[in-house]
Parts: sequence; structure tokens; C-alpha cells
Amino acid sequence: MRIEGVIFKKGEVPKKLFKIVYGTIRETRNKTYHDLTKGDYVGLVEYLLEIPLADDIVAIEESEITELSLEEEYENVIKKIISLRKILYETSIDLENLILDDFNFETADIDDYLEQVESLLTLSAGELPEDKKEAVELIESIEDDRLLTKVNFVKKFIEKFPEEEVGAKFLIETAAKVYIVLNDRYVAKSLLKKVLLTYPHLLDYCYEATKTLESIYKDEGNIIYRRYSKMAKVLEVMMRGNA
Amino acid sequence: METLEFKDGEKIIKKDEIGKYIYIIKTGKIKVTIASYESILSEEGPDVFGLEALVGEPYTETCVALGDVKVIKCEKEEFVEIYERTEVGKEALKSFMRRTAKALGWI
Repeated sequence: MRIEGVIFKKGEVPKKLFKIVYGTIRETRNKTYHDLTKGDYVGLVEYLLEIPLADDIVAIEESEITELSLEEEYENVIKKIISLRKILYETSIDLENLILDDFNFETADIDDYLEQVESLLTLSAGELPEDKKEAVELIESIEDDRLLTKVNFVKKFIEKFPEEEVGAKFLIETAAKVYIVLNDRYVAKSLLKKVLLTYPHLLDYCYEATKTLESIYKDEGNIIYRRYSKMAKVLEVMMRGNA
Repeated sequence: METLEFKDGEKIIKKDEIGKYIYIIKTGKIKVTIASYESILSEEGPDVFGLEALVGEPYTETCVALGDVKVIKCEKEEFVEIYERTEVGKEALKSFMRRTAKALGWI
């Protein structure tokens, strides 16, 4: 069955089991959406538990779904539930034994990425002044229409003055602008992760970075947001302990 | 298929172990741990755990006896033949889904 738009309405209890043949279907729970694709079941939780949907389930592009019987799909449904549990474990954190170094960040090779972007755009950021005060002033003076140049200077600043706390502030501010102005999630996330990796001792900046990471991952419907949500909670507790 | 007895605190299945058997609770209660989420299973239903064995995957939860417990241990073929298409099989899947959704904070 080809479909576009609402498949199940909020409050409805799905009575049939549908599997996606192609397309993208969006489920929303707890104000967070999850995009389902080929091979996923539509509203599986609510169908199995016979409970009402918290929100509409919507095909966000032309999609095809096929009705199946639970008996035939029994073992495939188990596999699907196991895959959800694997995601759960991948995004869970041992709160009692946490240290920041435990976080296995996705490859975030921002330096390589920026070099590629810059060579494509033939941007020339120039050299960062040797004097710290001048370098700070230069970075602060760069307008939003030269954001990638600013990113590049921030990167150089951190390399040149790794002990300077203002580097963490630059990373967070620039990440937010990159996300809002350029809508570049990759660079924004990379900059924020650089805060966690470079300044793990600056808890307040790390907290701000994790909260922003949480919201970016949530916006893109990526369950990884749970990792940063928990990390932010841990940092909050650590900050209270230090207060 | 055989009935096994466990004492309080004894581990019946452990996360990441290769799943060979499916278990049906005959009497008593079981504590299930999935990441930081914990729930209690009992003979009402009856509750089943170890469904991962049906698809050759390692267990994704740890189950520990709460007090004296009796469970029926099934091999994959036995569960498929006797229980899978019955209410026990359906309830097992629902319970497996419910624990997962709760652990994920979806319900």
C-alpha cells in the first residue's frame, strides 16, 4: 500500500502490523521523533502493547507499507526489539563509573573536514596573531557572514593557546552560530565535541556543550541524544559537588 | 524441556551470553535488568525471558531469581512448536517489547 501523510492518528491504537517497503515514516514519542525506514515496523510498540499513540505517525515522503501477520513476523519482531536494545546500550552511560574519557565519540575529524571545505571554497583565513590578546580580538571581530573563517581561526586558537579557557567559549559560541546560521550540524557537533575532549576540566562549558549536542541530536531525530542528555545530568551533579 | 529450580539471588541468564534457551516462569519472581532499568517478572501470564535464543542472539538482559523460583527451560524448537503461536508466545513478545519501551523511556 502506497501512502503519504498520516498513517495512524494520535490516540489511535494500531490494529494492524505494517512493515515499511520503502520511504520514511515518522513516529513521535515524548516530543522526540524517530524516522523509520525500509524493514522497520510502523507503531510497533503501540501495536504490540495495544496502547494509544502519543502522537500521529506520518509518512514524510511517499512510502509503501505492507500488512503482515504477527505469527509470520514473530522472530523478525524479536530481532527488531533486540536492535532497539542494542541502541539503548550504545547510548547508555554507567553513571557511577563515568569519566569523560569513556565517551566513544563518533569520528569527528574536524580538522580534515575544515581543510576540505576550505580548499573547496578557496577560503584563506590567514594567520592567527602570535599575541593572545590580538588573536582574541581578531576572532571576536569576525562577522557571521564569514563563519567558516571564524571556525578556522577558533581551531587555530585552540592549537596555539590550549590552556586558554576562552577557547571553550569560542567553540560553543561558534558552534551555535554555525548551527543556526549555516544549519551545518556536522561542524556544530564537531566543535562541541572538541570542547569535551579539549576542556574536560571546565565543567560549566562541558555542560553547555552537552546540552547543545543533546538538542541538535534531538532535532535530527537521532537517539544518540540520550547519551548527551545523561552526560549533562552527570555534569550537573559534578558541578553541584564542586559548588 | 526441563524444570529448573533457582534460589534467591541466583543468576539465570546474563546479558551478552549466547542465548541457547528460552525460560518460562512456573513459580516465583525474577528481577530483570536492562541497562539501568529494572523490572519484575512472575508466573502470572506466565512471563517468559530469553527470547533472544529464538534468533541466535546473545541475551540482552540479566535475570536473577527473587526468592525461590521454578522455571521451564526450553530449546528453540520446543518453544516454537509448543508456545510460539499460543497466548504464551504472544504475551512473551508483548512483555519483551514492554520492558524495552520502558527502558527507552518511550512508555
